[in-house]
Amino acid sequence: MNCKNLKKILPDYIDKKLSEKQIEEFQNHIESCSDCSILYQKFNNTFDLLKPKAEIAEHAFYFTRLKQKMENRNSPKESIFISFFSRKLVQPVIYLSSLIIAVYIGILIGSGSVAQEQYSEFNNGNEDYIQTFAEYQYLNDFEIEPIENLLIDNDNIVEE
Amino acid sequence: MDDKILLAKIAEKDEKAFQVFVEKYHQLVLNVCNNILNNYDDAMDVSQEVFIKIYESIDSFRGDSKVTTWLYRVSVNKSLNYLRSRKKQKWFTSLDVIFGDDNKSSDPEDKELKPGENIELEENKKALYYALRKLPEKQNVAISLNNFEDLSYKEISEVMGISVSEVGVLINRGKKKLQKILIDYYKKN
Repeated sequence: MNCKNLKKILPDYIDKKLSEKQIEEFQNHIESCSDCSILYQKFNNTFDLLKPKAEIAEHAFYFTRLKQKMENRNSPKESIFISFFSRKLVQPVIYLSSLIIAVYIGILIGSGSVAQEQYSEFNNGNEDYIQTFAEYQYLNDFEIEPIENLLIDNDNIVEE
Repeated sequence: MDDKILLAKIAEKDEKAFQVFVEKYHQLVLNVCNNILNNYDDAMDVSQEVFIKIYESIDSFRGDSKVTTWLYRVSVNKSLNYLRSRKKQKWFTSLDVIFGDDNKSSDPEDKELKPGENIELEENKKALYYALRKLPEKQNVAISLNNFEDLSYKEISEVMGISVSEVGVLINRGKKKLQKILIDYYKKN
């Protein structure tokens, strides 16, 4: 007996429908062929599962859950149109608009457009603004002046 | 309380009687659904649908057959409807398939097994339910009721509304086909 024949008669072997000679050949082949032996074991174990299973235990809150389901079913549902509208239209629009806003804010911060606007106003020749800007620049320069320079100046004064 | 009295009270929408009825039979319904669906959560949902159907259409029960036969019939029909509706939704790629979520299948015996045994048992169960699903619906139901629920051919014929000899043919052909599918399955795997 070869592997192909064994696969053919395997169901009949399980159902005990083979002749004694066939059974002997079947068993001899299984002993000598590991692949067929594994196949037979798996098949046999699987077919063994076709028997009454252990019952699922009673569910303590089954009726409560059932009642809840029935009440939910009876409660007025939102119409199909509204649920479709909210799910397919409103949600994507909200997501898309928040994404666009986030990207816009990101670009705004990255490009420093606020400062550019200041310079553009400066270029427009607004005298008041130029004055304010100059003062601001002076103050700003003063603020960021390194403290080492002050110390050096102080040392020079003392030496003088 | 006698089933006939219970059913009469349920027909009058007596909630207490319905509760007694549900508590008496929910285990049976849950088991039938689970044997066909092989998924505890789905079986839970479908079994509740069964009781809702019974509560709503109690008048259609004429009392010719046993209450349990009627319950089996409604449970089988609801479970098959559920499987059909799920087949229709199959083109939506299931997340369970992607993530291999097999933990839904349930069997109280599983918890008592050792890890090595559990893996082998799970593989065998997977193969068996794969093969059962591949069978024509009627053969699947007849084999499930006969083997898992231990119903006689006569009881199955009452549940399925066919003759006893037809049940025999269904089960024999189904088992032959099941064996063939299983051998092919193991050859591939």
